[in-house]
Formats: sequence, structure tokens, C-alpha cells
Amino acid sequence: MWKARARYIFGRLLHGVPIVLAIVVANFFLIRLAPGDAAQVLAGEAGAATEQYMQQIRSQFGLDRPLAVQFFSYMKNILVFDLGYSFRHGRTVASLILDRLGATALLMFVSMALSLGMGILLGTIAARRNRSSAAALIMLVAIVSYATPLFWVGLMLIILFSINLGWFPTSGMSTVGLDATGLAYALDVAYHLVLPAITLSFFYMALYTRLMRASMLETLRLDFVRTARAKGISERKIVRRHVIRNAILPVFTMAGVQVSGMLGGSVIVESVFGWPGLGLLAFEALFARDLNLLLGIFFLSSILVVITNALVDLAYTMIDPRIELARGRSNA
Amino acid sequence: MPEPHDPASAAWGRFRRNPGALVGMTILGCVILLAVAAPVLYPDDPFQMVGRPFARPFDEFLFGTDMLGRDIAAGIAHGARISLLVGVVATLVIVTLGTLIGGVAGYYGGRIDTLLMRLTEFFQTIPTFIGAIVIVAVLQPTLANVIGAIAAVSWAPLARLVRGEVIGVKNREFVQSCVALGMSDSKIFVVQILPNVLSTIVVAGSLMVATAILFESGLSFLGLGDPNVMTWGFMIGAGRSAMRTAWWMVTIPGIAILLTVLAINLVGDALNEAFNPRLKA
Repeated sequence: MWKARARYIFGRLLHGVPIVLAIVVANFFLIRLAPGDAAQVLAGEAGAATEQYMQQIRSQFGLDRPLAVQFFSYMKNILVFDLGYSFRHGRTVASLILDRLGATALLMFVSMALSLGMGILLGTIAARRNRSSAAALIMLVAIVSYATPLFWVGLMLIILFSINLGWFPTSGMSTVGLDATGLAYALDVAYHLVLPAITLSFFYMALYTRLMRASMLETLRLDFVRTARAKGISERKIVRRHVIRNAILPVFTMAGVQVSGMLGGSVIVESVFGWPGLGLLAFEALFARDLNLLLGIFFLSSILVVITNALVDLAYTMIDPRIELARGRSNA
Repeated sequence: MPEPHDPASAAWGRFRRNPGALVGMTILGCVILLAVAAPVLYPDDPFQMVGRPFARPFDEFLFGTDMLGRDIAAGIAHGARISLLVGVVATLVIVTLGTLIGGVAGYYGGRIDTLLMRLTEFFQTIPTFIGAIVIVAVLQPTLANVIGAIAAVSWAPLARLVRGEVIGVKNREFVQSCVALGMSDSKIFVVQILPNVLSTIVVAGSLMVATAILFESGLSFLGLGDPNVMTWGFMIGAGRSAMRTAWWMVTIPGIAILLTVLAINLVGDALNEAFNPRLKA
């Protein structure tokens, strides 16, 4: 079984290779679509640099050679994860990105868990008490949060909880000057994480609530639930052991799809809260017109999505053994 | 067995009886009215300074002024035009692309299908918002580029949806009989298949308008909007620095986005329930 799983996950990752290559190609041509000389684009805000410096960039990136040669050297660099150099930060793009990856991963992981947990809980309540006032309230909240822009949620939370009530910090990941370590540091980070995580999970909580409710209502009508009822199993037990387990599958599928959306959301949330992750790096790159850094972030986040998709497929086979390991997801 | 009556008017009847549709259509009607009336209500450039900065709302100016003394109500009115324009035009592009690509893939199948689905998969894998940021940042922030970027990263799910529907319809007898009659592919697609998948496209498209508006507001908030037009996202991004003292600068444009998107979602949900009644829980 484990051998089959290893082969499956390897196959799925292999499936992602053409996509990653396509992203490299897209990046290569995007840089050349930008107005002005590619050397200027690569230099970013250092575009006001000396002619000698521009020459150095041109020869470093092979911009004075034919397009095909440029392309292959670009490919070669990317494959060894050489994403270029950020003149603005004075560091390689790869090291900048790796530095910021942890903060984004933490934010996304906590938000994902929060939105899934809350969504499944609220969706279950709304389905079990269908047509009650509690269900109506939950669905109303879900419809409203579904329509609220992420950045505005963040700003409203800051106005309410940071500026007016003073409960949570407005920005950052840890208290400046507080050189805490160990548990004290973890608590400090958690304290800073509260508002960003709520903001990022807001929309997804609504999405999962709606999905879970619909899925539960559908499952509750199925024959095996009637059979279970006929056997005299308590309603609570039916819901816990039979309905939720079946109803949860579409929610997990959706959560896998949403990783890509959440990465986009983290750009917004991180720029609102100054959370020092990939999203804030992208925001800073935008301001500095550091397009090469921006493309590096785009490249890496695409790879993250490819990997997560493979992991989600694997998790799926564990939850539902009926899905054959050997076959990928169908296209329909 | 024939339908008791015309399914389209039955769907319309279900739509009209939906309370969500009523609320949604009312709000949406107000937003459209505001967008149409903006040049009459506020004939001046919304970027123009009209009063003292930091004027509180519900005083001299309905929604107050921002830190440069620009009338926020004028910005809301002119922003409604841009939001609706971006939402509608981006959706039209998405629907055209998605129907074309999904339709061709589903109708022809085989190698074309594999190729187009690979392309679709690529566009579904890239993180959409970051993709749009990259496109707008590289190509310069103009209204056309913003719309193009939103469409470029959003058509894939629709193409997949249309493909699935087309595959479901293309082997039915009425289509096969047209093939036997020697009708051309394009005519079969437009006359026979498209009407049968239209309700799916309309429902998905209506919800896409809302997504496109949210998308545009996010881009403008990050400073990637067209600098020559007033947008709600830009107003929030600009008001952010004065948030401590002037809550209204970020709050009011946010409510405008929220209400507009909410209204479109309500209408879209109602359309969905009207056209796909068996899905109604």
C-alpha cells in the first residue's frame, strides 16, 4: 500500500512538471512584455543605475544574445532555483523568498484550520436545524462575509480591535524590542496572528459553511441515513458517524482548490497587517517595481499550489479508499 | 413527456418569488442608478478638491471629505461606474473565452480536448490573484489591462464547466440527428448545444460579475488600479493612512463594495435556484 502511495504521489508530482515549465515560459515572456528594456526591468528601482551597471545586467542575463539562447539560460537558472538578484534588497530572490516562506505558511495554515473548523461547525448546525432562526442567522452571516472584500475586513478589525479597544496590535509579527525566546516568543507571535488569521479565514469560513450545509442536507436525504434511523440509532450518532463523514468530502476538495486563492488573499492580508511573509514581500516588490522579485514569488507560489494539489489528492485517497490510487482525478 | 408550460417562464416565476432576488435587484438597481446619474449628480472630476480636508460625514458633505478635501460621495458615485464596468466587461470576456474554449474542447474531444484542458489546468493552477498582480504590474495599470488581467486568470473554471455541459448534451438524439442531416459544426454548436448550456453560463456568469468587482477592488487597493479613474478600492487604500482619525474614509467605500457584491450574489443565487430547481435544498 505504501509503495502504491509513493508511486501515486510521484506520478502526481510528475503531472505538475509541464505546468511548472509553462509558468517558467510565461515568466520569461512576461518580463519581455514590460515596457522598456528588460535590463531596466530586471534592475528594478535601481533602474536609475549607471550604464556600466546595466551592461553588467545585460551580460549576466545574456540579454545581448539571441532570444533562444536567453531562454535556455533562463531555464537553466530557474531549474537550479537561481531566480536572480534583487538589487533593491541586495540579496538573491531565492533567499528572500525562503526567508519569508515560514510566516506565510503559518498564516495560511492557521487560517485554513480556522476556516475549515468554523465552516464545518456552522454548516453542520445550519443543516441540522434547517429552517430555524439560528440557521437563518448563520446563512445571513455567510452571505455577507462572502461579499466582503478581504482588505476591508482587515481594516475594520483594526479600527475596532486595535484602535478603539486596543486589544490587538495593528501590525507586525512580533513586538519590537521584545527579545523573547521559546514559549514567550510563540505567544507573542500568536497574539499578533489573531487579527490576520481571522481576516484571511473570513471569506473561506463563509464558503465552507455554505458548502457544508448543502452537502449535509444532501447526505441526510440518502438511503443509508434512513436505514440507520430505521435501525434505531440516535440522531446525534447518525450525524456524527455517518453524515458528517460523507458530507465533509466536498468541503475538503474545495479547501484543496482554495490554497491557490488563499495565497492571493495572503498578499492582501499581509499588506494590511504588515505580516512579514511572501505577500508583504510581493507588495513591497510592487512598490519598488522590482518585477523580477515579483515573478520569483509568482513562480514559487505556483509550485506550492502544484505540490498542495498532489497532497490533497493523496489525502483524498486516505479519506475515501474507494478512489483508486493508480488513477488521477477525472477531468469532469 | 412535454413540460406543462414553458420552462423559461417557469424559471422566471421562481426567480420573481425569491425574496433574495428582490433584495438583490433592489440594491443593484440603486447602484446602477447611481452609476448612471454620477455625471449629473457630481459633474466635477471626483479627484478635485472641493472642501476642507477631514470633514466628517453627514455634515456639509454627505459622506465627508478625504485627507485632500475630495468629496467621498462623488468618489462613491463615480466609483460605481468603474466597478460595474469592470465587473460586466471582464465577465463578458470570461464568458466568451470560457464558452469558446470549453465548447470546442467538449464538442470535438480527442486531442484538441486534451490540449485545451492542459491549458485550462495551467490557468487553474496558477494563483489567480498573484497572477493578476503580475500581469498588471508588468503591463502598466490601465483600465483595459486590469480587465484583461482579471479575465486572463478567471476563465478556466468556466471553460471546464461549459466543457462538462457540452459533453452531456452532444450525444443526445437531437444533436445527433443534426449531425446526420449534415449541419455544420458551428451551426450545431450555436443553434442546438448553446441554448441547452446557456442557463449554466448565465448563472456562473452572474456570480462572476461579483468576483470580478472584488478582484478589481483588491488590485486598486494595492495601488494597481488605473490612476486616472476613481475606484472604491483606491479610496480605501488612500484612506488607510488616516484610519486612526478618519474612520469614514475606509468604511464608506467598503460598504459600497459590500452592498454591490452582495446584491449581485443574491441575484446570482436566485438565478441558480430558478434555473436548477432540483438543486434547491
